[in-house]
Amino acid sequence: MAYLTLKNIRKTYGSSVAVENFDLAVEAGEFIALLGPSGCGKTTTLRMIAGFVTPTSGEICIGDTDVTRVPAHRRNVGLVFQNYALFPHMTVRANIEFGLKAHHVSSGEMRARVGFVLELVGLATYVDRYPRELSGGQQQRVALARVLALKPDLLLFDEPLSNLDAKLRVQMRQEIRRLQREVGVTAVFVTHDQEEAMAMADRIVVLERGRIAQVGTPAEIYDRPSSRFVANFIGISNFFEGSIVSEEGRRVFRCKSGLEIEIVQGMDDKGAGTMAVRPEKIEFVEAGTPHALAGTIQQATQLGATMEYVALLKTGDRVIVQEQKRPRVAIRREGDAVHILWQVADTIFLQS
Amino acid sequence: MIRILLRCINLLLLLYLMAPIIVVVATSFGSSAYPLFPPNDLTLAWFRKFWENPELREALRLSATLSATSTFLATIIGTLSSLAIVRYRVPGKSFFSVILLSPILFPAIVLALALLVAFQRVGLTQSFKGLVAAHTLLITPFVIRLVMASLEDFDPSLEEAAQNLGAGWWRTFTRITLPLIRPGILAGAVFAFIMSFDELVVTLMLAGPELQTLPIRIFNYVQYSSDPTISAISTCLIAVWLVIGIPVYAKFLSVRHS
Repeated sequence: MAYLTLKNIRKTYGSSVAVENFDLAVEAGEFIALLGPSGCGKTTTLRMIAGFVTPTSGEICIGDTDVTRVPAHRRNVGLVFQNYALFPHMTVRANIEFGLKAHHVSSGEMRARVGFVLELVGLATYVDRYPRELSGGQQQRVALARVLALKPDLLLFDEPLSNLDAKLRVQMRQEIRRLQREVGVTAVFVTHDQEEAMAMADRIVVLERGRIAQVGTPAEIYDRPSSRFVANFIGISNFFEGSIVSEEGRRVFRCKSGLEIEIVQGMDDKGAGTMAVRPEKIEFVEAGTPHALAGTIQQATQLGATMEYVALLKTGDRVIVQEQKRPRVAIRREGDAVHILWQVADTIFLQS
Repeated sequence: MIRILLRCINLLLLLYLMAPIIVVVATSFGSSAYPLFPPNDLTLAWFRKFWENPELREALRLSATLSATSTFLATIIGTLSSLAIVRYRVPGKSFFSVILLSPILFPAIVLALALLVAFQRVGLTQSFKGLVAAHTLLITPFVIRLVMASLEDFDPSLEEAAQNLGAGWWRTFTRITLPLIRPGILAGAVFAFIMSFDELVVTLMLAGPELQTLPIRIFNYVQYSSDPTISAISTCLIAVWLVIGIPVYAKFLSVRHS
């Protein structure tokens, strides 16, 4: 039995559709990422779960309770805002006590809970500071402590890391995940950063223009994207458009450019579509290796630990190849002649 | 060089602005029977004369009551309407805000005549109620402007955060919204009080012989008398302004260096 259920959610503003056909079941204790470009409906969905937006139709259930029409302040759902939304005129303690007072928690219990959550986020010595006296990361932790103090049924995050610098962002990812596991609360995390979603979530919901494009574990989403949109949004892919043809007893995927790619069993009857290959699945091989494709390096880019090359094939196709920098592996230069190869199992067929 | 020049210009401008005030304050302490600058002898006689004049004292009391009542009403009405204008989707919002601010835009004399005609119909002329109504109308726009400015700085996600933490609208309003826009409300109230206390044109039209506010009394007084009692009153008003007005101005209305 799923803990959070969204059934056929639809939200329209006038004639524009923000979210539709949205069905999702989140298990208790699960960490879900809603991922998509801006305007895909991920924040609207989160705000519907929090109760700030009422769905045009559909149903939202937490546990066994239908909360679709329950006002925001009656739902026991904790939301961490993008800008943290700490009350600037209150100390850290008063910020945390605000929710506890609204829930009429006794003063003894209140003191215990404030102490507990501040210990949890490692800010016990900061109780009497004002938000403006804290760094971005500390404010983030206070925002988290403030909602955790209420022992929420559900934790919601609205792009909470986007205002932090890169190093801190990575650190806070792990911190948030650790806290969520420790408390054992179910969480929904909105982000437009695919790396963040991959690193944190048990499952990712990829959204495209108000609809769910794919739901799956990070590995599933990355290795088996269900559409060109997903393959393009998560990581980088090389796309080849064409169709499966069979002639002279063999079956291949023939691109419009004339490039032929071998296929695996099971792809047989899919006809026209797009073939996708991740750049890190492609390797450089010796000339004369069977099935290798010949080309020249058109562009070489330093990405730090990896090199990214654009290889121009004889057929005119451009292929992006990523290679780890390793000992005794020479860095290729623009104009070098190369042969590239990838495993048939690493190609993804996307029906058009 | 340019810096020195600019400083000189600044100083001259300041002097130009301050000069009348300096003259008024100085003459209020002079012993001659007419305002003389610089005063040749110092005395507090004009202050005593002001205080011992029952008409002027009554006028001061009336002005204070009138301004306080109008400010109280204007602050409540102004705060609520700026909340509505900034926060909610009111149909014809921009039209409303123009109408609400229109008393600032119209010439006072036009407004005074309009109010005279309107109030005569409903019998509000020559009454305290009528003056309160007119002053409230005149000063509410100032409250609205200042509260609107502080509301526009206000992050609406704070209210959402309060609701998310379990606070209903009343708790959200009293604990979060109100404390955070309080500076704007306070500045609006002080500004409104000063506008009301100072008002002459509209009051002159609506007030009967029984309702002589301080500005009207001063206006009448200078018509037949030229002793420095008026200077003494002005000095008192300037003192009050220095104690209350300037700090509020400095805190809430100055250019912010963030």
